[in-house]
Formats: sequence, structure tokens, C-alpha cells
Amino acid sequence: MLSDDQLLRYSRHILLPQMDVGGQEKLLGSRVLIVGLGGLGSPVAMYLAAAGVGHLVLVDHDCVDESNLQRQIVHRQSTVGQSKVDSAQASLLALNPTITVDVLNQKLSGTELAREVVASDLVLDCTDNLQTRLSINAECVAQKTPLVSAAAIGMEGQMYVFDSRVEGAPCYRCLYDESMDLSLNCAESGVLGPVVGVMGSHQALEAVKILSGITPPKTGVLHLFDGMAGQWRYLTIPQLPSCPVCRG
Amino acid sequence: MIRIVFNGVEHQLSETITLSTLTEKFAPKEQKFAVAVNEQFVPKSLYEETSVQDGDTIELLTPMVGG
Repeated sequence: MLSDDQLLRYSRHILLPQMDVGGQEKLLGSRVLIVGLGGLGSPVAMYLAAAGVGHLVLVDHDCVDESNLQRQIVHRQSTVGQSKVDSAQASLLALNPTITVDVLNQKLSGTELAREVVASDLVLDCTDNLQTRLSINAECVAQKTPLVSAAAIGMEGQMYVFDSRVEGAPCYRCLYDESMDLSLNCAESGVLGPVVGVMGSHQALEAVKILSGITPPKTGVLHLFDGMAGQWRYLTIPQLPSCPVCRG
Repeated sequence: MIRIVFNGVEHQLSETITLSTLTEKFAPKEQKFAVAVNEQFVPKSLYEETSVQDGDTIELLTPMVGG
């Protein structure tokens, strides 16, 4: 049962016939894990906080650097030097003090990663390296937790939803494996701020759709964004018959 | 003559080749990419047995990891 304050705060959601009160209640009752509070994690966390996703768990081991502020919009000049999770938590609670925001100022792996994934309704991969992406994917497959993953570099972005609850659904490892690690990241290659913002916003949109249940997840499609041309393309990812993660 | 579009650029091939030969031709050495034919990814294990057809659009995608 939504309070009068909640009905007012989320009224523009509730007006949507697909969302209504039921969808909003599902958002309020959701717990989401956001790994990485950089260029992707910033819009992801801000939109989910604003949307009233009831419980956010933020993970990052890094501190805010001045060179982050060109695109990592959850952070502030005044929080340079602070841990990213503390900086983001303060921003998110300023935006929506009615939600719960927990922070883990560490790298997450092994049993700790498993514990957080199993406690979550959905995971957002907003990290910047292939190894972590593969570990998060493996844990999401093991726990059958929906994963919304994205990446951006230069003027381009990729976004994918993987949902192991769906029979025969592919996973991130069906597309990319350890041998493909080129280790290109934003620090070395550069990235246009709004490009990573588009990708993070796209992740937030998919997350809200899944959590509220307004549409079944479209799993196993690579959404490819060309920021220079302003074009999207979609490539189908079939389940790899020999995938050691989702077919293992 | 077979016409294909490879990473957005049109190419002509004189004979039918496999995806395996094609990726070696265009992207030698370490194959750090995934390959999509006509907007569908093809598992690496099928490169040998997949023939490139006239009119195919083929793309190589490297993992993008920046966030």
C-alpha cells in the first residue's frame, strides 16, 4: 500500500497504464546490486534511486578523481578523493531519502559476490574490466539472477540483458571469453560523456522494466550504439552449445 | 563472385570460403573477437563449417569493457 507521499512522488510512473500502482510497488520492494559507480553506474544508480527501487547496494573500490567528473555524474567536485560508494550514496540519498542505499567499498569476488547476487533481484554490471564481468555473469547464471550489463568506449556502447531464469537463454560468456581481453578502458582510450550516459540510462530502463514486470526481458540481444552516427543496431546472441557457464 | 559486407565495407571474394578462413584473412593472429553473420553471433566452434554466402553481412566485435 503506497503512502500519500509515495503516490505523489511516483505519480508520473503510476500514470503509465503498464506500470500502475502494482509496478511501482514491485520497484519499491526490489533489491538491486550495482557493481561499479563510474560512467555507467552513475546514471544507473540515479535513475533507479529516483524510480524508487527500494534497496540499492553499491559496490566499488575506487575513489573519485577529478578526471571522472566529465562523465560520472553521480559524483561532485566536493567529493573528489572520497570513496566512490560514499560519494554516490550521498548523491542518491539527496535525490531520494526514502530508499535504502548500502555500500561496499571493495572489490567483490568469490563468496562475497555470491552472497550479494543471491540477495538481489537483479544485478547491473557497470564495471570496467572483462575478468570482473565474467565473474559477475557466472554468479548471475548460478543464482538465476537477471543481469543487465553494458560497456562504452570512445563513441560506442554495447548493452545486453541476460536472464538465466529463461530456458535456453545465453549468457555473457556465450559471447565473450577470457581470451578476448584487450583491456581497453576509458582511462586509455577516452569516452564521450553522454555516450556512457546513454548506455547507463539504457541499462536503467531495462532494469526498471524487468523489476516492475511491465514486460518480459528481451534476453540475449546485443544492443550496439554508435554515438557518432546516432544509430542503434541489434545482434542476436545464441546460447553457445559448449558454454562452460550456462551449459556447464 | 561473392559479395559480402565485412565490418561495414563491401568486399568481393572469388570463391566460397569458410568463416574460419575469412577471419584469418581479415583479422590474423590472436582472434580476440566475436563474429556475427547477418546480425547473429556464430560460436567459434562453427567457424570451420560455416560458409560465407553471397550477400552476407559479417561483423567482428571485440569485447567492450569500459564503464
